[in-house]
Amino acid sequence: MNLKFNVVGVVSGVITLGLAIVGGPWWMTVGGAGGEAFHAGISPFAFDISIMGNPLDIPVIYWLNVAARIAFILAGLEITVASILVKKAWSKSFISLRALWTSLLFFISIYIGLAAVQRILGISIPLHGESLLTYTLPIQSLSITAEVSTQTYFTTTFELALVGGILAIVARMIHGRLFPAEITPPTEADGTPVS
Amino acid sequence: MIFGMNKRVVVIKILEAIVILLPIIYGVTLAGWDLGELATPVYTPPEIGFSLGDVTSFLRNDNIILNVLITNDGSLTVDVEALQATIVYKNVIVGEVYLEAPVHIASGEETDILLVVDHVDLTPLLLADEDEVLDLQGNLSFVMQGVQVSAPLNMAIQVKTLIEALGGV
Repeated sequence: MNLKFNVVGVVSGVITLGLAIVGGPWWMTVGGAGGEAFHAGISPFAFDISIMGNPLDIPVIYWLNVAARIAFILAGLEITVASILVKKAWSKSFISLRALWTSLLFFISIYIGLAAVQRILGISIPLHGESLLTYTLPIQSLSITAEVSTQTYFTTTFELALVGGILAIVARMIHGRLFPAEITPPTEADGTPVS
Repeated sequence: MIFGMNKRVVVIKILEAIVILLPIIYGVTLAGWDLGELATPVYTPPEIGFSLGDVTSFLRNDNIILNVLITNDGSLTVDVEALQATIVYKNVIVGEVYLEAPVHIASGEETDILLVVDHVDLTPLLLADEDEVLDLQGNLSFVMQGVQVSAPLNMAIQVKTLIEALGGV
């Protein structure tokens, strides 16, 4: 095979870049008809939660989302450039696995978040699937019961992020084998004495 | 070489980390380094509230109908779907009550809710004073912003309100 660039890496880079630019939720939960009772669309780049028609906001999440978006844009650009300039000695160092780690971390965070909601509020929301949420509010001596049908699911954007991350691993594995780096003479910047 | 990487690569990676952290640092600075405020959820729950107005009654098709004036003081639209209750006088059931038809009450709207009184037995009221009150106890089901709510209902009805429907008998 006489490849001029790392095709798998380019695809991974474009996916990583696209995820940050296009955005879209990675995990959704919808309560009531059309999310009337509540809806949440969460990703590393977005945090959109509305309960009973009013938005829920956590200020720090906004800045974390901005940071994640920048991180993905940079990773996407790095992977793409490194996959095109395959002969450069530094190229393999820039094939980032950020999309993969972020996807896994996101999955774990949602799992922990739902476990926390169950422990604190006593509401059991499934990670994926449909359920009927029942919540009893004790008001004075009365007990008011609220029920709402819920649907939760990971979106295709999340699946795409996983694919992008897995492709980055493959790109990194084949990078060294298919594209041996050009041997460049050491420079003073490398900290090696130039002979 | 640092960690097996070219020095320039390391410098670029450090710069990259700084660029990624910049928005977080900016956000924290904007909040005056008050991490508690930054991490505190901001949410304004919708207002929920009702007020009951006058209760009147009338007779229709041999059924006593209670007309309850209700105002939705909350910010959400409410769809009253069902009501199952009993009218009790001194622990004796005088009648059973159900909602004539589902009622839609928009926020701030005032609506009449018609309740049908069934299986009426006025015998326990024969010696009751007109100003005495009867207890309407039951369960109310309504839908509010997609949430199905079931709540206990407890309201007082004057004996004379029920008697009025029968033409003051």
